[in-house]
This record gives sequence, structure tokens and C-alpha cells, in this order.
Amino acid sequence: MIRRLPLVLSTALAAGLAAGLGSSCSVVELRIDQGLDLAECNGFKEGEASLGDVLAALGPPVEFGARGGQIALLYESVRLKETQLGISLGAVLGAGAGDYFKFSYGSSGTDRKAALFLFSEGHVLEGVNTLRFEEPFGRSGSIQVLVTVDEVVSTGGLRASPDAFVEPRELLNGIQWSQNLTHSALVELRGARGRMGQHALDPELSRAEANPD
Amino acid sequence: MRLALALALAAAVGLTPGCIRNSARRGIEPIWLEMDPTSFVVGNTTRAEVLDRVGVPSQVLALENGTALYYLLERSRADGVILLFYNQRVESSYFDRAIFFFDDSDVLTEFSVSEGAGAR
Repeated sequence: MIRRLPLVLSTALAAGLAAGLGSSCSVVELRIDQGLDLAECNGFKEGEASLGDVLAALGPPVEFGARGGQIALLYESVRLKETQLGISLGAVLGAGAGDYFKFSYGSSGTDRKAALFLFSEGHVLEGVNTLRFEEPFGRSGSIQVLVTVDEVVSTGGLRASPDAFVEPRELLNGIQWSQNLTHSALVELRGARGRMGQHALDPELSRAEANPD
Repeated sequence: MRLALALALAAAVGLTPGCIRNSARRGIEPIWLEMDPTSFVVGNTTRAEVLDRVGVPSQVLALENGTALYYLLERSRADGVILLFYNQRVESSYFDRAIFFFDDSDVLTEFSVSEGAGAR
């Protein structure tokens, strides 16, 4: 019995120690609208294909916009993978003392595909462009003392809701905000950075600049 | 015996399992999925008929010489496991969409409807 205990105990202690350190690895994968075939998108001939041809082949677009009689269709698919590793001493030292040390590391990779179609006033294809973006989206590691950080890599831009879900009450906000709602006429990729183009007047950005803290 | 006991103990401590499954729907009820797409006829079907049959759209876009109606439903689903040392979650979002273009006489010029969640 005495000889048996060390193996059992040592294994339990090793597992308990690892658990006590609070180490954990998380893998999160996000898939949005898979199945966009860029070769098929590039197969439409400019000056020949019509709006109806593209809709019949690819289905309804992710976003669409119009300026005058011209129409833009945007198709997009996103695959995002996040890996996070965190270690803290919380389970060993208690909730308070354990906050003195934390280690965290996170990385994200994306595989994004997009196709943009532009049509003339007669609904004839004027141009098509495709994008394949497959590379690390960001990574970060940190050792923290006294500070807790919740989000290591920000992927919020790729998780943005479709503009169709913007609630009508937002139209009652300031005129800057209403004018800059993307579904007013603008077609843009998920994750497009702010403070540019039609977003230059976004009041939220203005407030952030005025109050950086 | 000792090894089995040790492994069982380690598994009990280190692999305490949990699981996640959730799903959500947001948007317009996809009535068009139950309709025959050939029932929408370019050059014949009117905007009023589409509104009457498919319902209130997610978006209405005013074009220079007509309008467009856009219907959207998002279905998302997440599955995952929560272990003590390792967690994994896979979240998928699918969209059912329908789009209808009309000329300045409110007659259908182009349209497209998705074929169900996960379909293009």
C-alpha cells in the first residue's frame, strides 16, 4: 500500500498542480458564409454578364449598394481561428493573491475571401475584383502583474453584424451617424478600419479622439 | 491496477468535461424557402406582390430608376467542449437571403433567393 501511494499520489499531485496553476488553452473557430468560389467569380466577363447572371450563379449578396443607377454587390466568406493560452496562480494563491501573476498568449489566423461586382446603369457588369486573404490576423503575449486583460487579440471587426440588422432607432441619432450608416450606400468588407472614407465623420471616433482615456 | 487508478484519477482531475451548444436566429422569417422560385417572374411580378407574399424586408434600397428589397436571416450555431486544460468552440453562421430588383414601374427585373441555411 505504501508503495502504491506514491504513483497514485504523484500523478494526482501533478494533475492537481497543473490544475492549480490555472493553465488553459482555448481554440475558437468562427466560420461565416463558407463556400465562395473565387474562380467562378472571376469567370464573369465584363461588358457581357448581367446582374441577373451573377445573382443566378452566386445567389443573393452579403451586401449591396447603389449610387445613382449603378449597383455594387459584395460576396464574402470568413474563417477565423483563435488560439489562446492562459496561466494564472489564482487557484493556488486564491482569487486575490492569484491576480498578481498572469500569463496570456493569443493568436488569430484568418482565411477570408471576397468578390466585388460593379454594374452599370443598364445592369451590365462593369468590373469584378476578388480577394483572398490568408494569413495571421494578429498575435500577442503578455505577463501581467496586478493587471487583468480580458481580450488579447481583437477580432471584433470580423464579427460585425450585417448592416441589415441596424435598428431603426439608430437613424434617430445625430445626422453624422445617420449619414455614415454603411447601408445608406456604402459597401465595405468586414473589418474595414474606421477613420477613413465614409467613416471619417463617425461621431464615436470623434468622441474617442476627444477623450482618449 | 496502479496505473489504471492513476490514469483514472488524472482523468477525473484533468479532464473534467463540459460542453457547449447554442444556436440563434436573427432576421426575417425565410418564407421564400417554402416558395417555388419560378413563381417570381421577371417582367411580370410586381413589388406589391413580393411584399404581400414574402413580407416586410430587412432593407429597402432606393435606386435611381427603381427599388431593391433585401431579406436576411442569420442562423448561428456553436458547439464546444470545456475541459480543465483545453477548451474548443466552433461557431458557424449561415445566412438565408433573398433580393429583388424592380424598375421604376415596380416590375421585377432581377431576383435571387437562397436555397436554405448553408446554401449560397
